[in-house]
Amino acid sequence: MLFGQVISSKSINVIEFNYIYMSRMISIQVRFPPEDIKRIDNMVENGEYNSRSEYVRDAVRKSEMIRSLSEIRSLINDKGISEEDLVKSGKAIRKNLVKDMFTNEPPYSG
Amino acid sequence: MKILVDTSSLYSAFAYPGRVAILLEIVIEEHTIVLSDLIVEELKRNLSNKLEGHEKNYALSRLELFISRCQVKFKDEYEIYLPEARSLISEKDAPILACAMLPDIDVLLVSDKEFWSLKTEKVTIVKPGDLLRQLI
Repeated sequence: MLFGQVISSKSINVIEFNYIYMSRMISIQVRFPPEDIKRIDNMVENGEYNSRSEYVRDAVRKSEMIRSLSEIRSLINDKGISEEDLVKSGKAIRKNLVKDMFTNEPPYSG
Repeated sequence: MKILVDTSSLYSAFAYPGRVAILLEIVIEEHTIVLSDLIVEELKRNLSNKLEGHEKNYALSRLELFISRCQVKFKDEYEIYLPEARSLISEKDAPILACAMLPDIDVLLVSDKEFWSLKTEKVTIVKPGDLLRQLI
């Protein structure tokens, strides 16, 4: 694909980036029912995803986020920590952090 | 949509499997969650202070995973909006409002009442209930 074409330094960087990114991926074989593959292929054809792989990566990402929220919730509930507890302590932490990150004043000690 | 989610909404989703948790699942499915460096640090410190030992380590690892799947904005990107934000809201919340002023942020999702009465054309501020109604 590259031979015979004039390639800008920017496109070389993109190719290098893609090569590094893709070379860090690990291929696995996953089996899906035909009806699922049909739905995934429809989304790829409609332009929602560039490939089946991209769809699967996105599905894993979303699943991990939802699962992480649920697991944090279980730990918080097991300890009997309420939303009010989190909000109250969060406000004190934020006040302190803002002084550290955005002003030169000494950190809040309340 | 790119939705900046403040800690007030995340705490609610952490505490109850209710309305805000459902909303965040819809946002994860269909939109992009954006956090700021301040939000990330506050979440980490708050969970670190509330939990101990194995639970703390596990919660922080789950939080890291969640954060790694969000888009994070840094101070360098939004601090130009800080003076304007400080003129509208308290010092401690100004960095959140400043981050929401970034042109690529569509909505600021916040459960803290202090934000709800703000009048600024640069930021669309939504309550969880309103965003949930809008998205379903």
